[in-house]
Amino acid sequence: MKQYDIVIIGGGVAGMQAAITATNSGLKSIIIESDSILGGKVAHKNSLFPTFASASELIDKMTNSVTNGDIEISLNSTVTSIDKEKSIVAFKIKGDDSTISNVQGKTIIIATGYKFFDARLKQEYGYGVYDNVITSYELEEMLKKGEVLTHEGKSPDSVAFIHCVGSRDTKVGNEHCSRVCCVTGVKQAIELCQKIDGVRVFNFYMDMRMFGIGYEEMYKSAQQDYQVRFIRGRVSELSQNIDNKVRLKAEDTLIARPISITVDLVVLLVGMCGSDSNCKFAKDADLTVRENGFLRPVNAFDGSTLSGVDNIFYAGCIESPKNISESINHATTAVVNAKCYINSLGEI
Amino acid sequence: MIDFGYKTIVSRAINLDNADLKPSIELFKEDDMLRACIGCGGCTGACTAAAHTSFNFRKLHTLIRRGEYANAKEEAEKCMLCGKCQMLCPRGINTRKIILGIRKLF
Repeated sequence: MKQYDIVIIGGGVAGMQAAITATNSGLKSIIIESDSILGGKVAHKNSLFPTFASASELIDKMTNSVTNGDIEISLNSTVTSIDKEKSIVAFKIKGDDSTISNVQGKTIIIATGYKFFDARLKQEYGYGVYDNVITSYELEEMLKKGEVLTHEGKSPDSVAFIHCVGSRDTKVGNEHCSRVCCVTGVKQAIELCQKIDGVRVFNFYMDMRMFGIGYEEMYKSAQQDYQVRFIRGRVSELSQNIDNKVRLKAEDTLIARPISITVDLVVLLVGMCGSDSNCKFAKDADLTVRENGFLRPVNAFDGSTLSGVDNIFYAGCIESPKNISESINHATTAVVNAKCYINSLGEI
Repeated sequence: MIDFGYKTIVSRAINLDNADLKPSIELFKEDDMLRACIGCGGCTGACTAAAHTSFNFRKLHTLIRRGEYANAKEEAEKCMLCGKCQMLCPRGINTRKIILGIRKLF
């Protein structure tokens, strides 16, 4: 069985940064990634808020560091079990269910990220029923391909973004705020305005939570430079017209009257949910799952990368919704803590 | 009294120093989740009564929570208790219990 200082589960930005920091700290690591490429969710993005930096530039840079470092990578690999006592991670390669590989690490870093909220659960928004209702994830892929079109193949004249889809919503069991959807909505609204001449964009929000550096400035720029209309009201329901346009109904809470609008395309800003694998990891390794599906660390302040099991650490969105820079910093902290633990083993 | 031509204009501001908030506390007993309303307006956007009348559930209970009860009962009578608002309230407020509570209280 191969031995490592750190076995990293997940090869998104957090997992890759953990491997890079490990290499820089003289630690040997392996990344076990379920997808066929590294980069996780960010690999599917077009640009990054608030600077509009290219997502692929960041991913290429990180992937280069990972592949040029002394880091082993196992793609298409699904973790089947974690043995916390012996610190062994077992995994299998997709398409080969019979062979289980085992690797042993002095420490394990879980960086499996999050999954997007399944928009079909908000039945009143008709995702999967109405042709021109898409998710922010799908819009990001369209922007990456360079073409934003309606289901009918036309450039949309009007687009509405619905904030908080699957977040802050007790009806779908997600009480938490996913944090990054607000700024994603602003970023994508600006990109649409830049891309489509004369497009009218409406963002229906409950609160604009511009928590990061440069986010509030970006929001102001969307209002002033791009004439994006922000309407304060949670959309109550959508319906599809005979011409496949989508009608929105909400309350404009700032004037206390119902409001409706018909647009060519509706974008649902889907929130973050805990990964499906979280419960399995938790069961195998005695980790605690929060009510919202993310894994609970020792504490929220100086212990957010500590799982409560000495040799297991968290990096990135496994622990709570984060933006990219927070995920990357979290991963570095996880490796520093893993190294402290490894050093403590040496003294015995 | 000599009329000097001056008149006093009563302030439109809600004065929470003088507001009687006891009835709103009674209302919370119907469903304490009302305290957690985030004012998203999802209820009013879906409301069949709001589309044709002045009825606005969010505004109505917010006014009561600020000690403003004028026309509260009359407004609450406009609700048809269809329950659409309750189905989509992101805080899970039992909106119909609140409406029935307002009808009882005032």
